[in-house]
Amino acid sequence: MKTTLSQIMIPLDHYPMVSEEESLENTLNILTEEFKTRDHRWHNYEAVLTTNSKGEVTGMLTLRSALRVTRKIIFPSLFHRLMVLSKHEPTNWSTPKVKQFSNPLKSRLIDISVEVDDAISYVLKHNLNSLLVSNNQKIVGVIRTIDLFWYIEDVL
Amino acid sequence: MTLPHQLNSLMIPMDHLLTINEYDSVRKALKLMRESFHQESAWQGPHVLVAIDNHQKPVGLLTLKTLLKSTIIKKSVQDPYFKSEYVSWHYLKKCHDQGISVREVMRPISVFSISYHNFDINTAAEIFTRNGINYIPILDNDQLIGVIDKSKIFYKLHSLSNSLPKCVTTFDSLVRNYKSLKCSISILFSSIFQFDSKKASR
Repeated sequence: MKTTLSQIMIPLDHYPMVSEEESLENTLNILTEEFKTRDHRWHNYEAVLTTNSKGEVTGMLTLRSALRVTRKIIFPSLFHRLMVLSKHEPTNWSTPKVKQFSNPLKSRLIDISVEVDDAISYVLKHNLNSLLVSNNQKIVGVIRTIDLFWYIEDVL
Repeated sequence: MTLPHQLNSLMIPMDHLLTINEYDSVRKALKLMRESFHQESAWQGPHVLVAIDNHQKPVGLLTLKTLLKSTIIKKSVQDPYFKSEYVSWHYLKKCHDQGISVREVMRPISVFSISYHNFDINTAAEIFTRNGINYIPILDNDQLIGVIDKSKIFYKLHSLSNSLPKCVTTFDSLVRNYKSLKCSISILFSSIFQFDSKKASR
């Protein structure tokens, strides 16, 4: 019997969710807190899902995006510093909202009916660590590289 | 610059990593990867293996993503496009019949690496984000001494950013001082200019 995405995906409720209007600072704190509470090893979950006012998933702040933005905060480029000087605006890192930095759905969305082999090809082609699984245009779960790992043991 | 003792806390040392010969099969690597997950305690082990050559020298890294590549090779054998190309098909057929070896899918250590003595957390974060990788080998005189993982770098940077408000305040006050200085100089020059023009008109 063929393995399907629904058998290996992680349900949405395993992931922390925040409103897309939430501040970036709070979202990064949630990501770090989850890391601490889940015994310092998060088995590639390491992402926060963002939702709109209707509770629909609108994006995903991955660890890679979080690392990118944290690096920019701590080590701002000369260009960024000059922009701050020229804009006459004070620097306030708690103002940006998470939606400005989360990954849009379209770049990591895969239908539940897609074969696992195709999901692997998608992950490798776009160099992703996780995909969002949709069923009738509704996000129902997440597939991580480690979930695909269990599958390849059966294939090889 | 991150001091070596700080890097030690971020790095998975070589003796915590499992090794596999580069000519071993991917099937064996999968089993070893499972062991690696539970190496320290349940689910706490690294998700990476080190590939070594016949002289025990580390030559590559095997991550979850590199192992996923092996299914693509397996699938490509049936692909008519590859079948039409004799050379690729011959190579893939060989992989299929004899089993895919670790060296076919591993990431060579030389591709991305950081020197232990020149380690800088900013550079490491840049390599992770630009190249979409999850592990970077740390070399000391071209010898692999450990691997750093993306999540540890993020949590370290995030803890550093807790001290950021101070830096931001300092930077903001510098910006404000610069702007008020610019304003004062312009007032000074304009008053001097006005004084000179009045003097000239007399």
